[in-house]
Amino acid sequence: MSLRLHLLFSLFVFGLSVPGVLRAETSKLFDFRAGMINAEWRGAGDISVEKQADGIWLRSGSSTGMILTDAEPPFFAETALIIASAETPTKVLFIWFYPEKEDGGLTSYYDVNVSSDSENHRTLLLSRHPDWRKEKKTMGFLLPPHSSIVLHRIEFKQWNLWDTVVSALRSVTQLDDYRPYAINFTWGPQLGLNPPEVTELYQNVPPIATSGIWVVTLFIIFCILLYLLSRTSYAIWMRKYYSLMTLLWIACGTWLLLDLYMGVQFLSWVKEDHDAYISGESGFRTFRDRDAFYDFAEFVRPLVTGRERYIFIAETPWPYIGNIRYLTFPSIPAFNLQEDDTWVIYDRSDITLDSTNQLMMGGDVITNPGEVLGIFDEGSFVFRGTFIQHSEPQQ
Amino acid sequence: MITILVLLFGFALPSLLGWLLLLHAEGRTIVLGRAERIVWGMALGPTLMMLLVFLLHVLGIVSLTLLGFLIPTVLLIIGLAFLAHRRTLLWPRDAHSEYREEKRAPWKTALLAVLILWTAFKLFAGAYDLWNVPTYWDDSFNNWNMRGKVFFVKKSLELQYVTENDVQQILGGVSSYPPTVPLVKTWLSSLRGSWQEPLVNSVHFVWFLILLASMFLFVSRMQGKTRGWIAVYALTSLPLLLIHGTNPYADIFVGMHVFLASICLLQLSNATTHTVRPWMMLSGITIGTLVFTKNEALLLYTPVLIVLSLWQLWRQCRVGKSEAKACVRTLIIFLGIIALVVVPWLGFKWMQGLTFGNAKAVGDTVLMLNQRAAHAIWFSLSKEANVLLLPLFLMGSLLLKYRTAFRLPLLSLTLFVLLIFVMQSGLFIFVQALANEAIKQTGLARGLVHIAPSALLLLFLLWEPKNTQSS
Repeated sequence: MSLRLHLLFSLFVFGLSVPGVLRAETSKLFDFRAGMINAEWRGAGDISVEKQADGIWLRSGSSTGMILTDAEPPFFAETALIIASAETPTKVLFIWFYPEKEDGGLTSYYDVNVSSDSENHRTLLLSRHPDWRKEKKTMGFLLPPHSSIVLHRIEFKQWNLWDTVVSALRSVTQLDDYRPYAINFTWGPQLGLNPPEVTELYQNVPPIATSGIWVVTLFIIFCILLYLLSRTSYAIWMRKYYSLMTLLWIACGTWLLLDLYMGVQFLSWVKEDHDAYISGESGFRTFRDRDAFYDFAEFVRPLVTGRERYIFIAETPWPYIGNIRYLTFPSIPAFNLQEDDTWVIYDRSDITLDSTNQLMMGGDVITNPGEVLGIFDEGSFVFRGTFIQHSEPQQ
Repeated sequence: MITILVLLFGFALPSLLGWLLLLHAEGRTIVLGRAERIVWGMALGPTLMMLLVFLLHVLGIVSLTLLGFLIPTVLLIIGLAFLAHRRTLLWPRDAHSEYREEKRAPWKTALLAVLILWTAFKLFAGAYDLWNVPTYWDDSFNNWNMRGKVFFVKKSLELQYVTENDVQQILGGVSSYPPTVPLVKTWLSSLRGSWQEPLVNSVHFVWFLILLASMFLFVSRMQGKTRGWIAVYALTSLPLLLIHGTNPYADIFVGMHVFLASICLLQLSNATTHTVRPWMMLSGITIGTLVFTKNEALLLYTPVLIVLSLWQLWRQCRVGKSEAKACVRTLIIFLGIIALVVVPWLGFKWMQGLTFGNAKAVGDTVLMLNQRAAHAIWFSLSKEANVLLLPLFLMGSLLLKYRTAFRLPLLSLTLFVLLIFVMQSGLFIFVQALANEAIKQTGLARGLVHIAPSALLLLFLLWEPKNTQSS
């Protein structure tokens, strides 16, 4: 076989192997189902461990308890999928430390919230944690006192290059919502480097992802340095291909692309406002993170007009108290229970009326029999009645 | 429809006031173009009108009613018009009747058309949203709109109102702000006869349009209309500015005043013997009105602008471009115009015990390095899309074009932008009371909105076509 044929054959074989290399994905599953446990785990502190068919039942006593292992995936894990369940919502910690460090290694952790659904899937973006390193580590779970969960499985993954590229491209199609922080800052494109990062892209503040602006910034700095290099005597040949105009066109191109992304995001916000609020039927609309508050305020306004003050109770004071003060001014919200008798209740399903039209809060009667001025929806209404002075409702 | 007509008339009246005052400031030496004078009048007029009404109101002469706004403004307009007629200043010629224009390749025209359409679409969408949605942001319903509504309902300048839980709180931070923006809303509502959300919120979009028009006219004057349109595109493409321009926040209003003041500064560097005086007068008016926009204008922008303007005047006098007597006269009038705003406003603040600073008093400040604030500034400028790549492009351009940037006439604008950035950052990093403004990116964002138009202008001027070709 000639040398040329050898080369062609080698290239062919190499070409066949590229997709495989690109798509090679590494994962390690720690299973806790009966008969499937594939690593050694040890308890520490106040903890009891009980094997069950679908996992191990972990319970802590009056102090914290831990379950730990020195076994770890034979690769640098980027994500961990934890599958667990609990009877009541429970927060445990996924912890790790480096025992070979002189100080024993400070313990790092991720919160793992286990709700009371059957099987909770919680993905930890390990490679984004500054203390998650390629060193021998001990890891496990820490349970606060009086906690109880069933641990089913943990899957550690290292994602392949293909996943990284696809995830980064998919990230660019994700847009942030019009949130209260948008008036102060806007993230711009964020690049998730694996599928779980893309899923959680704008769920964290700041996003756990790579800033697209930073990537472009580094690229432009590289282009500027390349230009400066081309001006030196070491790289005169570059001047033929790389002029100042080339640099300017690259800069303008990146600006246009970023503007396109941010512009589309801005238009998506307007569209969302149009669909959810502007074109909606009054009384059934929602607006950004305020749900039906603005329609509720419109509903309230005529009912409090002419009164100097009213008692206003919402789930949280911010942002509703300031917002409704502005909307109903000169009638304003206050909390003067002795003098005011008009109660404006927003989104408080724990505040109800009994059969004699007395306002009840947490099971306690807090007003004399009064009159319902209007009901907006369940938990949101306007009531008039005088306060009974034996309790102090929570605003 | 009525609301739109009210908005138009509500802007037309103060704009006429601003236009007449600019005519008097320029005198016989016309330095602004016709369109520029109208746009600058629209920008500065409302501030001048609110300053007038504020002064008369605190002196007990007028109340904040329709007539309280209307009568003094109309009287002043009549007076200024009469004076302008006597001085034969009315119907001035255009100082810049011919804008530089070059022939464009068809593909460039097509690209420009796409950019303009894209910009117009974003602006239209933003205006549609602003007109139709309720007041959402904290500072809008707690400060700008709330104070305007209080003034409208009470018909007087109230510095306190009930805030929470029946407690009469003096709103030390926001009450200490100049009342211009709330007063504009009060004026428009008085004209309309009721408080209308679209009306009081849409003024912010009008200010954004005025800022864009100012940018277009100035860049067109310096570099031709193509560049003017590109500058409008670039300014609208800055996400934080687009968001602020289409929401009821006051910072585009401040940024507009800062932008006009920085144009004056730049033009002072270019001035001839004849044009020094009018540009100093215009500089005095822009700096004076800037003081009456927001607290940080007085503490941050005004000192730098005054020092740089005086440096330009001194330079002109030193090289003998202007006579010493004329220089002194110009200096006195320049400082006098600024004092006309600063003295009564500071006097009022002092008498009412109002604080200084951006919503935070700057009396009991503790100086200490705050690394989190420094990190927040770095993060905001390098990893967020607030002003796209403007910080990087400006720094890169200052590096590549340092000969142009640090040499007159651009030097004064370069110094202004850099000094303001350094001072803003320094305040956030070293003044403990203000560090949170950077960490939470509240004050930091405001600062960016104020200075970004001037920084963008500097970027455009650094890449003057002839400079680009020679590089």
